[in-house]
Amino acid sequence: MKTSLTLARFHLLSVWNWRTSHLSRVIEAPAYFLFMVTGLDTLVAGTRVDGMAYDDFAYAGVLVVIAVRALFWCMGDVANDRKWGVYAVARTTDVSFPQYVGSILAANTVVATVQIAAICALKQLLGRGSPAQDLRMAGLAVLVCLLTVLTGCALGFGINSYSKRDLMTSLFSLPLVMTAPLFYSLDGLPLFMRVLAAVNPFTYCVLLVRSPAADSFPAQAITGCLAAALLVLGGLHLAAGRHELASNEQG
Amino acid sequence: MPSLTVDHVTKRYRTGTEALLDVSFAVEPGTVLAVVGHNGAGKSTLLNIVSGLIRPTSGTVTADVGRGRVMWAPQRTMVDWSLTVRQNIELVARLTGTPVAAVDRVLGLLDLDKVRSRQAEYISGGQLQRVQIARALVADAAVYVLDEPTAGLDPAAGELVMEHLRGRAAAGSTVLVSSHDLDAVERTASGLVLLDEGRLRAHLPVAEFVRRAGATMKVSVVFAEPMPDTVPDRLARTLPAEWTLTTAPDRAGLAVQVPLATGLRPVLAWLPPELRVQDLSAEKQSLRDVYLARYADRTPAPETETVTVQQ
Repeated sequence: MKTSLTLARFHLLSVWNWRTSHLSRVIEAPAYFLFMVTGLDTLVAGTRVDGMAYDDFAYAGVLVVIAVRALFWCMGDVANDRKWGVYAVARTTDVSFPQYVGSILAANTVVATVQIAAICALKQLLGRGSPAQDLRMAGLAVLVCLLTVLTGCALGFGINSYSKRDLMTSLFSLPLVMTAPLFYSLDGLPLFMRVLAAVNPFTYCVLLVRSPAADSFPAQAITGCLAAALLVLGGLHLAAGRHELASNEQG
Repeated sequence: MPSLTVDHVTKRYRTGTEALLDVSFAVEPGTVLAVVGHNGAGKSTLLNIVSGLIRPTSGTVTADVGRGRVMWAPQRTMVDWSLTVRQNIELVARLTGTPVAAVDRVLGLLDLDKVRSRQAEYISGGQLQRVQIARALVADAAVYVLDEPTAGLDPAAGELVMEHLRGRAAAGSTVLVSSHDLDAVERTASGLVLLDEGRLRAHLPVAEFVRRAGATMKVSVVFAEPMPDTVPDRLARTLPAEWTLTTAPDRAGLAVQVPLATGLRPVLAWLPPELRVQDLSAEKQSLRDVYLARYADRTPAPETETVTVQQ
């Protein structure tokens, strides 16, 4: 635990040192939320979406966007650690694989939690808040972030070059956001969109986050998230045994 | 008991390159072992395997973990660019339970004080190299593995690093260091491993390697007065088979090249007693000289020569 926290501290120092590069993490989610709540909510003119007010619907969507971003940031962090020797330093100084993963989990979850808290606060400031419900949704979003951070971690061990990392981010980041019902309902969408949504894990993540605002028990969401968690843990298990401590890309 | 044993290590990369082929040797504690060879000989692969950065395709590396950990500095730059110089080193100190005061000591030792708060991306190549060395040296270890640590350093800094490595070995650690600076290797290392196209060609004490590689000593003599006419012929007749004689045209001096193992005494005994020696100097071939003479053409040595290196 102490070792994981020590490593996590240096990950956070890294974020702080490069704070100008990480500014997008601070700006993006609130900007999305402001746009959705003040823009689209006006457009839908108070219509309820999937049985809830649009600002609650979009609030959950933005929280899941944070989780999607956490996945790719984390994937990049692990890839960088393997390229820059941080992972090798850790492992050759007796830091175990679970301790390293714990440090990544801690640092990235802290950042994601701060982002989630900022959105939650913004919702209250805009006068659209329902504090108890919003906090429950935020808590579920933190759980989803734990899952996506672990996913990013598992993927990061398979990344051996910047080009592959960038390809993964640009290829999957936007489609994952757009094919899950983060900002619009699946009702009435073409069949192919519903099929894509059904295989997109973030569909289940957002259903889980929305569950405090929905009427029904989120059995489908919980099943989907548990299945995703099992897949992620399997991926991490594979990653633990197969990777070299350092990627071989120069520079 | 060896502190490090490399046992039948082979490494084949996914590209099909065979970087190491059945390499075996053992290193005693308190040894500075130099790993030498041409570019692409397999030095970095060997050191990366010993460091634990990559895994061998077959074979094993066993470090005497009872004596502590393996610390390493790679050839290519591997630092966290987003951390400051001090943070890069402190990270290792924290993970190894080393007192933070050691960070300041190693920063001072490697003249990194002025850039301690600067992020790694804003320092020079030589300073990056120092950061990597500092990271390896900040904690006590049983084995230190440094891949070309003096590359990119100014001569004074390079000598300082090598001197420090000698100190760590004197304190009982094992040091594996690769370098193309063979003069520094000769001053620092007690033994060497010679790799050639992934194969171990020699594992010998440095002096033994130099001797076996056919190193010679050139003895130059200046006489108080020119030699009598008959002396050069007499010297030539009594010259041992492996020696080479060059006489000065004015007969005021001579130079004789002898195998290094011969030593100076037989040369002095060979000189006619009637000649009064005014000046005498002896110049031994260095590790660099014999390496260039024997291995510069990349012709593989005919057979492996190994002797366990002991301090």
